[in-house]
Amino acid sequence: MKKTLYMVILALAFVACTKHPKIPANYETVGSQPDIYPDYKEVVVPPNIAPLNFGIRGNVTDCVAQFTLPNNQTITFGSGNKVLIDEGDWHDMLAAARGGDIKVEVFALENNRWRAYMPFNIRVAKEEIDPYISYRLIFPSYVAYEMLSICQRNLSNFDEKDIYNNMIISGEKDGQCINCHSYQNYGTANMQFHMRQGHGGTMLVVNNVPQKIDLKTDSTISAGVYPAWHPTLPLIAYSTNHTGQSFHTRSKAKIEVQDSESDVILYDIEKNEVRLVSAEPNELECFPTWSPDGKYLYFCSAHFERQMPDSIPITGEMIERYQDLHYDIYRKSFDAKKLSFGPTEVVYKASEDSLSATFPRISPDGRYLLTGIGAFGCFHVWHPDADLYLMDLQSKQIRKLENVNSDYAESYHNWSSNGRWMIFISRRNDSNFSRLYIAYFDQRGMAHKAFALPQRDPDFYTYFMRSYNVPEFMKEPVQVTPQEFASEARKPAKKATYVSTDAHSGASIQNQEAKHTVN
Amino acid sequence: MKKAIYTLLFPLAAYLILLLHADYLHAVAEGDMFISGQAFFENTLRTQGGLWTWIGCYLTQFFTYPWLGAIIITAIWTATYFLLIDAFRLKGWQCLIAWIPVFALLVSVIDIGYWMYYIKMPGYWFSQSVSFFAAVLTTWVIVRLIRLVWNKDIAWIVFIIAYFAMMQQFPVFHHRHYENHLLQVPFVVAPISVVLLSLVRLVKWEPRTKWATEIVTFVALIVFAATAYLLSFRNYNFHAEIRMQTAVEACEWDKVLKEASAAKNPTSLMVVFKNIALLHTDRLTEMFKTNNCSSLPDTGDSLTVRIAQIAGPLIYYYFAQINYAYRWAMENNVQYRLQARNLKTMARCAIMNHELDVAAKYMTVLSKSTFNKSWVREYEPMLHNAKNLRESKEYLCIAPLLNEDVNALDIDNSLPVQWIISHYADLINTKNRKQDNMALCASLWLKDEYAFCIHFYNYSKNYPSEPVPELYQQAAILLGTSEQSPINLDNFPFDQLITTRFENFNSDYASMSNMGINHKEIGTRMRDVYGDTYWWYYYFGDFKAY
Repeated sequence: MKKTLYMVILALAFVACTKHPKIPANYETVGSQPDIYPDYKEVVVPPNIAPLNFGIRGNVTDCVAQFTLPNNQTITFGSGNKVLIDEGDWHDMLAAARGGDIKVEVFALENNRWRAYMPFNIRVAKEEIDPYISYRLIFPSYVAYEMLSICQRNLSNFDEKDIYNNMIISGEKDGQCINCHSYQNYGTANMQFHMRQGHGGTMLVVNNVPQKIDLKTDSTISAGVYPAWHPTLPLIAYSTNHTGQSFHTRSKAKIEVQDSESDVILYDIEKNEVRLVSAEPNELECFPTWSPDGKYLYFCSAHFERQMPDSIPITGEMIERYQDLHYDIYRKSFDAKKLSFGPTEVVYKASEDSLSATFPRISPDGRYLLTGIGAFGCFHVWHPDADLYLMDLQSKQIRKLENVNSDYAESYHNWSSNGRWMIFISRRNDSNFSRLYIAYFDQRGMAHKAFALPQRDPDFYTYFMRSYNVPEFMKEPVQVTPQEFASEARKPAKKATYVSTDAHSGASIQNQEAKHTVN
Repeated sequence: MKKAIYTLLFPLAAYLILLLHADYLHAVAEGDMFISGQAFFENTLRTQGGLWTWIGCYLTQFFTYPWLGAIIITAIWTATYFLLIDAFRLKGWQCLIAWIPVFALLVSVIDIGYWMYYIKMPGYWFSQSVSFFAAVLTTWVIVRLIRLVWNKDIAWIVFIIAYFAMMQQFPVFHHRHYENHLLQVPFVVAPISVVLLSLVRLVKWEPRTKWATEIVTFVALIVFAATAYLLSFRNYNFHAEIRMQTAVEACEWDKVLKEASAAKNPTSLMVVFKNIALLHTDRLTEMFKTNNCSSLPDTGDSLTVRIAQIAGPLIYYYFAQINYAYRWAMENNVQYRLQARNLKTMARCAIMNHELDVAAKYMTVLSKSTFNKSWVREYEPMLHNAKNLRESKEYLCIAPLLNEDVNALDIDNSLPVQWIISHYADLINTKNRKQDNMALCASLWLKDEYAFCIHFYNYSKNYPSEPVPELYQQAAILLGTSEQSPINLDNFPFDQLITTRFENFNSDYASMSNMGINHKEIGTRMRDVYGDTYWWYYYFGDFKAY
């Protein structure tokens, strides 16, 4: 018995010693930085982010990473080919380095020889990031939608929980798709997401009380699709879409999603009323978003006039002419007292550059508009050429955002509540699975190198077979439980009513002459 | 000794029955997936009965070698039997009843047929037996402990508690709007029969002689084995499809054609596999000489199967529609369960598409399973050196059909074969002989006269000094000489034999028609003489796309 006890104590002591391995006494110096995954070299991170655990590529059997703080204090981690950082130590390091750099020196045992790589820095920003994000996890499938979940993740550690997943009440007969989670002004007391097919409806949460709403009326194209909560009022703007999917035979884009019809509507939560905001003929309005002061509603729209109305249906023509679809960005002023909108103003005419702009997102200070731009269409999440662009709403200059784009799709971007962080999805890891990336956006309006959402195991993204989409920042976790959502989902949806407005009258478009600069 | 022989009789029979379904068991292993490591373990554990699923996935891999997987599962069943006998204190003929749950589990493995493509439970083929064994083992342990202090027969109570505590998710055979409850019977029979074991002990009847006991045991075991065999899904085409699929995956075209020639009434999937083999052995013009008519698969119940879900990825892949192959592999992985076969297809597609990072990802995942490492070793060199890809046998097959620069946006409506035929029948600007043949044969397959005439015109221009294959002459004399034809074949030098045979075909048809014989019957009567011609296929042949 005593012997066993000694063995346990020895083992614990060994584990304690190996938590901070020693730097090898002898090594050869390599004139390059290590090839680490995920790539955290020279990134700027929030002072409240989870540990940036990483692995080292190559024939590495052991490793030591020495982290040097601005006060010259050092600490080491590493075992095998991975550097797994203790959460407590990491947050102490971030606190000590806030506003400064952490120098990382990597020593790797390769082919029985220790090598020291050139150090790299991790800069710790002064500004924190919102403590939570939520996202949808979905297999990068095309039509099938088993095992969808909307999750919330604590950004300062690795805790991830389901907000809701479709397998709770899905069955073969009534499979359920879930999408478009959205919050009012980064809070979670007022939020929504959609359920499609089985037990369909919009799950609306007001003051942490969920209720299922049916937003489809006889006068609108569909139920609400892409949502945008008014920052302060109980209003949600939605697009309504008649959406179809088709598939590329050779292009690496693989999937094309198109709307054969779409409009923008406004839902008044208190009155349970839906009214049209924009429903112009030959216009495909989509992706509404509010300015942070709630005085403007931005949205995208593509002008599409039929050329072959007699020979093929509209869906067929859209498939034939898929490269002709170019979305521009517009906005309408909003009168909150009258719940009315002003005339449509051009914000950025991407079509004049033979481009297509989607998902406009205004920075919390109202200064910048972040948008995804690709050669055509609206489903940029599958377009390798899709990149993030930034428009300065003061100067109207638009530019491709430096440091964050890749040769693969970037999309579903969002601002943190303090405007210093951006989150978006990118397929840069392997061209097929979308992952979350976070980038620092400084006060000069410059974005810094983006880094992958940290995971406990650096190999996580290799084995994880689902994609991330629609990342949203949150100031707090969602309070309603998945079971409460499921319980509400089983009930019939409350039907919204339609209120007639003259959404076709504001047809005059004032061009604000956006200037396009391609970097 | 005799007792041992009788004890082993049923496991031996079960083992042999399993081996009779070796092709199916191998397909089961390819249709499932185990990934070693914490992530897969934790993910699996999140589902109901996750531990049994995880163990089931691990063991199902062993069906890669059907003899090995069959040994393991038979061993589990035999152990279940012995534990039951001891837990319930069975003796003599009573032991027979302990084979009933084993019989039920055996049937549950071999009776599902086409449901193997649709069942959503990973590791199904082992997980039920493993969870049942765990319940029986728990019962045995607890009963043994109880017996030390309290000599009571409460095994059945313990079993019920253990069974419900450890029960694997109850299998559901549900697809679209159809559910087969009969396939769930074994999972009801197995636990109920165990509970009945308690009652069996109350039966005081014993055969008068030891010899009689042996006869009863022997006959009962034979009945069990025969019933299990009869309940297994033995449809010829189902098994032939599996064998052909395995051969297509390995580019073993001779095997595919041999299977095709042995089939009397092939399914559409078998016909497509045959045509893939003909395509890649440059014998596509034999498409209608070999049987191109097809039937719907006999699923044994009302299950409606779709080629897209059974072999869509593979078919698209070998017709060089890489994006669509990838799509269906992904869809089937998501909709039903993660399958090694689909992961391999996705890796191959990614290599063909030059998406090497995602190919590497799939290979890393595959290398974490027990029996796919050699497959990864075979394909990995293609990631690192394009020369290895270009020299691979499947690339050599597919490459001539790859139109890298031609992209179209389309929808297949979940009908891959229909889409492929239409796609190639509509193909313009063909680039080589393989594409020419594919376009011509697709238009004939589709019975699209206009498309054939256009392709035939191009073919004549592309190969002016070469003899025109018999199939194309047969089709041209039928489709190209009418007034509506977009081409003029007045001076085309048809072979005299073909012209004569076509005249005979027409006169035979006319004479039978004049005799009042209906169209279908004429087809049946003319098949022996003209079944190898395109004319017969055009008028009487039926290919069912599903």
